[in-house]
Amino acid sequence: MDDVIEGLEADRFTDLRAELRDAFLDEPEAVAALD
Amino acid sequence: MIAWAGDEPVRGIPETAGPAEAARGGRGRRRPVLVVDDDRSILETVSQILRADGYDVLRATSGREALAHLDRVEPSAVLLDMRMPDVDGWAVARAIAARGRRVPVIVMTAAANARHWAEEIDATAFLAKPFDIDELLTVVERHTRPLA
Repeated sequence: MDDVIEGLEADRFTDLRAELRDAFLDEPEAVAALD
Repeated sequence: MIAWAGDEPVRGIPETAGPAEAARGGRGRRRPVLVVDDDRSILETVSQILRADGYDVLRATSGREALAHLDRVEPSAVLLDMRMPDVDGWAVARAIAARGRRVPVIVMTAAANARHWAEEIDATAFLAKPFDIDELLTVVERHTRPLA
């Protein structure tokens, strides 16, 4: 059971990691900071 | 003294973080974290990450909304965007100080002078956008404390 929960957790953070990257790419201020 | 996000290397999600930790009994009782950002996509994603890691989260899309929350709740920390229309991050920080609150303020900004802005408002820490999940969780963990 713990393994299942840990697996779901890993997948969730993988998705959120990508979502956070995308959120910053959509923000003009953050894009400017990457330049 | 301000503790900076870049003080030490951050690697990987903390071992005890996430829903699995919550399922085992959570992070301990803490007051909610207030996240303030006028960019709804960033606000929503940062909030989801903190919730997934076991925090209660209050959200505000403006400085004015943040002040309304602060009238009702004493959060364990405020993650504060600086450049917002109407009531900006500086005004929110002044309002927190004027109310005599000792709430850790963590500046979130894409500005090149993020450190300077954090110093200006006597912030506890800053997160330079674009930051990643590991930086976010490490800084929030470092600057929030469970209730006694």
